[in-house]
Amino acid sequence: MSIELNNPKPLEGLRICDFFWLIAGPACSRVFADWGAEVIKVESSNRLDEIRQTGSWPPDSVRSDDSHNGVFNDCNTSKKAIQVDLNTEKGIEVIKRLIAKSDIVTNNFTGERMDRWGLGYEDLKKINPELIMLTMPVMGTTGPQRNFGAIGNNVIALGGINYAMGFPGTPPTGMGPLYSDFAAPYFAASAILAALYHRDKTGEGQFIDLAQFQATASLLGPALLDYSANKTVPERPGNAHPDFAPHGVYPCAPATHNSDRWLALSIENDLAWERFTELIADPVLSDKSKFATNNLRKTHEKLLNDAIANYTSNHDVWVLAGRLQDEGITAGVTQDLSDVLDRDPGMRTQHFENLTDLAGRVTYTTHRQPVRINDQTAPMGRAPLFGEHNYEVYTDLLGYSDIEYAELVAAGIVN
Amino acid sequence: MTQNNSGPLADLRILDLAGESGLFCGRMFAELGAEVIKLEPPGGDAFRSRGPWLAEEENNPEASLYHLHYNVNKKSVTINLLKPEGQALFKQMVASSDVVLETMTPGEMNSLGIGFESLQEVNPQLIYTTITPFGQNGPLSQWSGNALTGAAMSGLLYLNGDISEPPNQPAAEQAYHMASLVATWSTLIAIRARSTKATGSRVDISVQEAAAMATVQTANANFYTWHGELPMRGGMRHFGSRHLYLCRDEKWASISIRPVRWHDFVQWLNEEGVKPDLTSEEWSDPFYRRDHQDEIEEAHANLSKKFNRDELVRVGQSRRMLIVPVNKIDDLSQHTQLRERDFFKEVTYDNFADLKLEHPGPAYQFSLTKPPAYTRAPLIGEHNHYMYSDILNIARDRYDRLAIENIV
Repeated sequence: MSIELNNPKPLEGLRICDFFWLIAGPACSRVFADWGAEVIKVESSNRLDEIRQTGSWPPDSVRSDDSHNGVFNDCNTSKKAIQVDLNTEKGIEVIKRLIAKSDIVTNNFTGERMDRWGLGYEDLKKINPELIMLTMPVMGTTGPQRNFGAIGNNVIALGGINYAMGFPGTPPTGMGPLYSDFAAPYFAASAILAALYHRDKTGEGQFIDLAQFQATASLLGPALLDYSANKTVPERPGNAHPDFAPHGVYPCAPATHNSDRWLALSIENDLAWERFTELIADPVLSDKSKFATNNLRKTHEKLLNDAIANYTSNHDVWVLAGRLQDEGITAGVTQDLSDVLDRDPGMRTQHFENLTDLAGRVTYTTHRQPVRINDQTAPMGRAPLFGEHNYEVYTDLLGYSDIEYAELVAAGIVN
Repeated sequence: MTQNNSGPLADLRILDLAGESGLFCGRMFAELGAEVIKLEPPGGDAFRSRGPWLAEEENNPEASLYHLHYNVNKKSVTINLLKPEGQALFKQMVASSDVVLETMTPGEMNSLGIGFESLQEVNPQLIYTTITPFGQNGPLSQWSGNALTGAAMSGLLYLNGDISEPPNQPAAEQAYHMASLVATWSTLIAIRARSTKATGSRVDISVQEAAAMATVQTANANFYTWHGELPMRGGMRHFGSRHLYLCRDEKWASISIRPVRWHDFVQWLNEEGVKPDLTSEEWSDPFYRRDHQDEIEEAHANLSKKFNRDELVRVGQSRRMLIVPVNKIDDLSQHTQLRERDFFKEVTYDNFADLKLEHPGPAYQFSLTKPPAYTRAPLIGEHNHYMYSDILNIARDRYDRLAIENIV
């Protein structure tokens, strides 16, 4: 049975007053926007979301304003954007009018910023008792370090992920991407949807206090439990797996576009190892006295890895990964960006969508939501320009007349 | 409005058949108050053979810390899905559940006669969530995969580590964590859609695609489509300079100086007498700074060497610099902020002489629907009686026969 999912879209009818900025926040509200909620991105008329000004820029020939970078457009699809000056009484009145008509308020400000504007949860629930409000500063809203300043790369350091990565005997290296900026928002989306589930049943709104630090620390797997049980402080494992070998990346033959090629390979049991050695027929690796069992392979892991690297370095990574997979062996290509877009047989069509800017001059290759519900992806619209929906939101939604809107513009509440 | 202690998802029931890639999804649902029932084959699931272990309990399937971590707050029921009677019992469980979560190779559940369509016949409202390496359909759907190859195929692995080293796997199976996080919010979206459509949905997550979301910034697709650039692993260089530095006490700090704080930073360097001197006018130009990273890194390194880590963090934060500790496991365990916010949840393991373990807890606090107190990870089949007798009303003699026939 085929089930039509997107008519109406599953989150249609919800409205979010969205103060999120930078990356971690907008990556959360993007989930809601793509799946049908009306997400109204609120920016100060004096200071736009800094991510509009950072990231990957299109060629100068088509670049037309601040918003045209790939990162901003990937984190803010399907949203609307308005401006308001929150440091004015009039601006606060505008935003309270919006919040009264919203289901959810989101922000990732540090400390008491929302409270200083009179927009803390205790204030807002008076004007909207069913409101769900989520705040996600790095440290949360309570505790002695609640005002700590930190951004994404600091958060993965705080959360323990940086220290846990790297090769034995080398300094901590950590993740290349600012990983917490992409994991924390998915905790936030889950928490908001859970609170919505409760609200839909009971009519009760509530406040959610999310600490990005905690989200990141909770992704360390069993390591914190291992410390609690055994006081273990693990060594940096490089690419090794604690239980079996081989597990890691192995150099492959240079390709025309990139000489830095690596096969990811993981052999979890002796049966798979047997198939592997039969397939590659390498004299060193066929030595049963050194490698036949997982225990032996773990004992001779350095020798094992060197011999595998010696074999793989003469092979094309895509061809080799395909041959290994044909034998049921867990292998893959350590894909660079051009692999992901040009060589992976599914990603370009399944996972990416081309969106076009308002003037039709710039194409953004944008990640889709990484899930299919009843075989359907979330339909996406392009990200909004700075203040693009001012007039529409102020007049149609908030009920300001054309004259009142002109006054707000004249007063600098909107540009 | 009254606070409750059952969590926001209190009346949901999840049948969790997931292997490693989906364990964290079930854990999140349990954390949010749903009843999560881990279905395991008789004898226990393979994740119970994963280390680390409780001391002196190696290879005891009840003592795998991997299992205890990912299955805390869940129940466990054993069932043999390879046998027809097991399949029939599973369908009975599905009839009173909201979600099935599974991670088998695409097609496997169908071949057992318990795929989405068959289950919809017994429960039209069912949400059927799958996590597989490459999704249910598509050219690579039959490829095998794990957290390492998931990170590799997503483009995430290529970005980690220093260029003088091979690409480095993310700590703690992050490709699985990303997939589980996506599975959690997308399952909740499907549950919400149930209220308008009165039917369930099939939710299909690919580990490769979920992990790819972590590359949105560092390997933004448009770097390549617009400019042909291939982002490489750059060690700890972010925004133009490294951010991890060794302090006087041999601990590490993470330092990010935002452009708006540049002049304050230089003033601090001068007060501390740190070399090289970055006061001259050209350093005010961000493009000049980008082209002279080595001197800036040297100043960071020399500043860090003057302080013990915690002092550097304290002074830096008081000067509104983004400086934080690079926490180790033991730092986290003792962390004041985490302690103040009740991040660690003490759980008593009555099966190990009332051993008390601290589990890492949730990312969030709800003002109204407080989560229930943590309950220890379940023994293999610990909740068989609850499921087979209380929920399915199976008579004692039939249950005994099922046990003998290795169905439960």
